Amino acid sequence: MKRVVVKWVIGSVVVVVILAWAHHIIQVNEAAMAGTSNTQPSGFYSH
Amino acid sequence: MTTTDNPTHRYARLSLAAVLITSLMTTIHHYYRMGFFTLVLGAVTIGLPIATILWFRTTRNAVALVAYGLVSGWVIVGFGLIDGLWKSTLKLFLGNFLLADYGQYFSWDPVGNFPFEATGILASISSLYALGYTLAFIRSAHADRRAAGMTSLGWVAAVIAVAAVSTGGYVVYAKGRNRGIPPEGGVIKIGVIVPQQGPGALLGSSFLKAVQMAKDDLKGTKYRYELVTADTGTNPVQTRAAIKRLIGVDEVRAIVGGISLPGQVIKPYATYAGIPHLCVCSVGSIGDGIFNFTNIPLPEDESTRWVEEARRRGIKSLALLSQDYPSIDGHVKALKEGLAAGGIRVTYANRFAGTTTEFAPIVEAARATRPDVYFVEATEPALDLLGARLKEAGIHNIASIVALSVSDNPTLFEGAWYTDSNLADRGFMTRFEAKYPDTRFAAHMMPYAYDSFDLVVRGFESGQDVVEYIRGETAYDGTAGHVNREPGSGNYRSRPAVWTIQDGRPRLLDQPAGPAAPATSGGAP
Repeated sequence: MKRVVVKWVIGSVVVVVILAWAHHIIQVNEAAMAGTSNTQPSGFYSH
Repeated sequence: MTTTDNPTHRYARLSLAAVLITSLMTTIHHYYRMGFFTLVLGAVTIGLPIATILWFRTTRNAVALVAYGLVSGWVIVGFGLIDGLWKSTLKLFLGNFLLADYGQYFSWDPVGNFPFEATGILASISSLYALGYTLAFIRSAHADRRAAGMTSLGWVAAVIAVAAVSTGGYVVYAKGRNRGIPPEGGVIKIGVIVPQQGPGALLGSSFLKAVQMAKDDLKGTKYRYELVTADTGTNPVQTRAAIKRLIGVDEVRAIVGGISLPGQVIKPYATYAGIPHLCVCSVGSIGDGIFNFTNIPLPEDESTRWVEEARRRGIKSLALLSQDYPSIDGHVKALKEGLAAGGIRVTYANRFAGTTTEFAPIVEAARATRPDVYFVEATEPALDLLGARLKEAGIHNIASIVALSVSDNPTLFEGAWYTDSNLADRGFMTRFEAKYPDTRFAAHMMPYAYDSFDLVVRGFESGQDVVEYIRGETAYDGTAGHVNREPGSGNYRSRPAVWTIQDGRPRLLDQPAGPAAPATSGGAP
């Protein structure tokens, strides 16, 4: 029983971390698509 | 042994639970793309596994077991692995993040909102459990049946075969979507991708019109040509989204683009799709001679022509004022090599950031070295800020490569000279200005944009494979004069011309006779 609980806790944490990471990637992607990302220098495609 | 201890029962429950979670997640996932039709999908993907497992539980019939295997296989492979794992999990984490530079090898579906992608990820995780438990259940049930003398032939193979065929069929369909030759008179779509916003919008707008003019000039072609335009955006994420849409959704059969940075992003997608990509860009490495070709003078060509003109003018020294930017760095690197060979001394060099606004110290430091000429290359707004500072300092002996043609205020550089595209067909500019009186003629890329579209069309009209045609086309005469390419190289090269700013406008100077651009493949940075 204890092993099952530990497995579920570890599994849930892993899933939450994966989803949080996915959320971060989606936010970065949305910012880049909207042109509001600050990860690129201004005038990136200027020439 | 109780029912709870029986492994077949245990695996059956676990398999059904995992399959139903996958079905539930995929139903919510598809709701974001299909709306209420998803209720039907949900009813089927949840109802069928329950119905078939109850059938097997009641009858122990092999057909019922195979039916459950097939239905589970459909949910696991179709929705868990293809939709969830491939089109959400791997697309998101690898295709758009960890391996974004290799995004062509992953699903091209756009990144959706968080609930959409999260349910896809959860479906992929649960489907992996479903796969394990379903296989364990089928093995255990098969063993039970053998023990009871109820064996049947080939059903495990059937489940695997159906799953494999569905997966294989999907992959073949996805890969083959963009293939096929249109019938004579059919429409061929050509993608034109350039910046339509930000500092590159001027070049982009001129580029699009030059291609439009080339299309309007077509007469009596075998096929009808349709231009599908796309905006590179201002960063690689936007460019990737645009090229995926052009190739994956609009199904263009060739791409004509401009600007080196997006060209580098587009290159692997054109290669993956097996379609030609003509890039009017100066980074020579974009041209691989297989699917990707550059069509504008390389930095070495500009450098050779610049040094030739500088020597003709008796220039012995110069100050280099250039922006930190890939295309410009390429020009400056090639120029330095050319200057060394031509015996021209660099008295001062400053590579400034595109965000620089204060140029007085740079100009003063350069002036202290007393150069014969000030070489200036930058993009807007830095270009005109530097130009204004030079003018204030009374400096008019200015030269450049290309940059002055894209200045928003060319009067700042009155009398300066620079190398840029050759307009061998002088009528091209006149026709353009008559056709698009409100559009500024950006000489830098337009002849090559026109010629690149023309080259692609000639490829389709030739009747042979368009890529093969372009690979074999090593020389042509276009609006930019004679252009050549060494067989196997990906760079169409031509000899630039010398321009000057006169009365606030770029003017093409007559060129002294000189050797043609060398037809060797060049490695621009």
